[in-house]
Parts: sequence; structure tokens; C-alpha cells
Amino acid sequence: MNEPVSFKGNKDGIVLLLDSTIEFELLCQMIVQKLWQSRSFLGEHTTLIVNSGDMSLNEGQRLALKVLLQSLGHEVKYFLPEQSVSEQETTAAEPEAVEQTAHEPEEEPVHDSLSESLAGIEHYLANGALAVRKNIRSGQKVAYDGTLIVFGDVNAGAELVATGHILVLGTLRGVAHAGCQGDKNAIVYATQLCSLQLRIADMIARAPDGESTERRVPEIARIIDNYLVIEEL
Amino acid sequence: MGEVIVVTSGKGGVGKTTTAANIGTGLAAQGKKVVLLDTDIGLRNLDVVMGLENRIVYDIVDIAQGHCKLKQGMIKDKRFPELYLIPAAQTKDKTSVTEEQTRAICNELKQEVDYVIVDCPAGIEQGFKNAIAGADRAIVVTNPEVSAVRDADRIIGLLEANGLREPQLVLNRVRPNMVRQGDMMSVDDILEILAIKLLGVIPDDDSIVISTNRGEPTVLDQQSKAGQAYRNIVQRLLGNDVPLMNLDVEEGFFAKLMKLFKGN
Repeated sequence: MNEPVSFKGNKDGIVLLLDSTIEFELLCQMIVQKLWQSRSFLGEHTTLIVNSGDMSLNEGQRLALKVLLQSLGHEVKYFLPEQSVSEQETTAAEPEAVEQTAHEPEEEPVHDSLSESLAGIEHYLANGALAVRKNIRSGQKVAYDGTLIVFGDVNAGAELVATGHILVLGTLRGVAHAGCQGDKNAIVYATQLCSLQLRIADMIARAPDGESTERRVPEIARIIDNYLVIEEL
Repeated sequence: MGEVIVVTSGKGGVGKTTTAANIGTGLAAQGKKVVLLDTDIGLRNLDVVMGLENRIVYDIVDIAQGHCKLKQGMIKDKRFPELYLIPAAQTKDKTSVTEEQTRAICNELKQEVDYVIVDCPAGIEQGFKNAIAGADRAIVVTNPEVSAVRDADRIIGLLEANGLREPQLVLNRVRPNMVRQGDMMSVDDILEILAIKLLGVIPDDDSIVISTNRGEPTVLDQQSKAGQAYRNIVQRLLGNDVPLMNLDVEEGFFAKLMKLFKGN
């Protein structure tokens, strides 16, 4: 595999091929980068098949990826491998696999251009999403009409407000309010969810009093049956 | 009709927030109805010290600008049923509220509760002016350091100019050993400079750091010397005459023996 994120075609359409060895958080950044670079090739609204190679993405990661791709204007048709490692399809099994590089004349390594195009800037994505690549500190507030993606940490005392989803690829310690205009389908995803308070639509959840341990597991918060539920991934 | 007490200092880091939290909690522990009002907009801390950060929905700016009712902005404490906190906003700045608005909030709160304890920001700018706008009396916090005493003196002048006469002094972080060795200003030295009434002396105490980090006011810790000092201050605020506590650290047997030999 030469690139962490690449495109291939199979009988069902375009496959987004992901390197299984890369950390999920970094991978998400690379996906944003790659899809942004390839926007002329992909067009406005493309249905993608996500193939994570031999890495079986768990349900939460799949949901996060789905939201991420949606925010970039694309839909996920289905995921490969389907669920468990044993059922997976290898990339070699795809007969019409064609490397897509024609629209990218000079392919830089993703790592280098990533920092360049996302460094410290607010980066408007296709489908009403805002990507912020910096740490949001106490007293800072990022509000956006759409989906908000933060590549960095959000510290206690900071505030994120979005009418859509909120994805934090980093540690979320501040307050996040997703679906702030009442969208109960909005989710909050964080690589480490350590918020003392979370809000989705008109619901507020607060962390229990007492000792709070920094968790190392990605978590996703959403409303299920009128309860704000936080699930470990 | 309640009383509005502002806790101020001029200098930062001398213990305004700690003092406000402990006095407020101490008064509530004595059965009083108390509201703690954090006016340090943009650098709020009182919610953290009180361990109520996770309950914040509305803040002082929301109340001042009419985005919520006063009652909605009052966070109920988890220890005492009649202790409330109105937090400052974190993502705004000091100009988000005016002196008139703070005064109006204080006056409204006074109708409801026995004490409103206002935690003032450091400095002498807008935040300070807001904090003292609705106050009936003032508590000045200082440390036994020349710079802190200098700032306290400046603040006392400003308080008097704003009609807050007879502010009372809380001397925080006193280290009796250093005072005895002549390395730290004594209570008397400081009172001579500031010439105001002493409300209490708080010894430097590790338990303050622990309790602040845990969000549990020291005043409730029966083992803590600082906690005892704050309980005494609360009693004095309630009009009871409590003598200053002996801050001397318990001497070991060996030290006493040495004293005997030295003939003291």
C-alpha cells in the first residue's frame, strides 16, 4: 500500500481505501485532506464504499466516518470488511480495482501537505462543515451553522456550538452543543470524551460528581429514546 | 433584606475566590441563605472551586442581558440547599455587563437571600467597578507580601472613593514560622500600613490546595487550620466575637526541650 488513503473502483462504485495500520484520528485527518484534494474528481455528492483493509472499524468509528464523509458532502454506501475480521474481503479480491491518480498530477505525500493546508486555519469543507485545526482553549468559542470538526483538543472552559454534528479528533474537555437548533439526530464524537457537560438539541447531560478519570477510549454521544447516551467505542 | 459583600484584592492570586467560596459556604453551613456571584467574566474560577462546573447552563451575562430569569441562573449547591452560585461567563469579557446591570442583580438577590458574596476579578478596571457596584460592604484579601499589601492599599482607597467605607481585611497565607524569624510581615505590620479592621488571618495550608482541586471548600474540613480560620471569619461576620486563633505550629517535644535549655 503506497498511500494511507486512496481511491479504487469496483463494480459498485468508488472505494475509499484506508490503511489499516494508521491511528483512526490521523486517518480522519488524512481523509479530509484527500477528499478535499480530490473534490474536482469526486464531484458534489458521491456515494462511497469505505474499505478499511484488514482493520475492522468498530460501529462507533463507522458512525464517525459516516458523519465525517457526510460533512464533506458524500454518502457511505457500505463498509468493507462487513463486520468481523474473518468476513473481510481483501483488496485483491476486487476485480476492477483501478488506482485513481489521474486528476492529481503531482501527488505529494499526504503527511507533508496535510500540515500545510490544515495548519492553524479554519477550513470550510464542502457540505456545510467547518474543520478547525488547532486546540480550542478556555474562553474560546467556536460556533458554526453545520457540522464542526476539530482536529485538536478542546479544553475545559471552551465551548463548541454547531447546528449539526460535532467531531473532536482529540480530547474534549469543554462544553459541546450539537444540534443546537433542535436537531436530535446530531451526535458528538470525541477521541477522548472528558466533558463535564454535553448538550444535544435541548438535552443536557452532565458528568457525575467526584473523581473524573481521563478516558482513553473514543466515545460517541447521541440521543436514543429521549435520553442522551454516551457509548464507548 | 440581605447584605451584599464584595471580596476584592487588587492583586491576583491572593485568594479572593477561595475566600469567597469559603465564606459563602461557611455562612450557608450556619443556616444562612447565600448566593455566590462570580463577576470574573472571562476567567471564571468560583464554579471550579465550588465543584459546580458541570451544572452551568446560564451565567451572569445571560441574567444581565435578560436571556434567562434570575432564578434560572442560580445553580444550587450540592451540599447546602440554600447555597447558590451564579457563575461568570467564560467566553465573554468584562464589558459584557455594566455597573447598572450588576447593581440590579445584587439588589434583586438581596430581596431573596441573607448574603450575596461577590467574587471580584483582579485589577481595578471595568470588572472591579462591576463587582463593587452593588456592594454594601467589602472584604479586602491580601497576602503578607509588599506587592500585595501595596495593591490592597490602592483598592481600599478606591473602595472608600466609591462609598464603601470601613472595608475589612482578610490576611491570607500567613506562615507563622517565617513571621517569627522576621522574614515575613506580621499581622501588626500590615495593619499599621492599611489601617483597616481585621476580619481574620488564614494560615498557609496545604489543605487549601487539595480542597480547591477537589471542589470542596476548606471551611467544611474540620481538620484544616485554614478551615478553622474561615469558620472564625464566618462567626465574626455573623456578629460573634471570636478571638484570633493561635497560628503557631505545634512544636515537637524536642523543640520544647531546646527552649527550656535556652532558658526562654
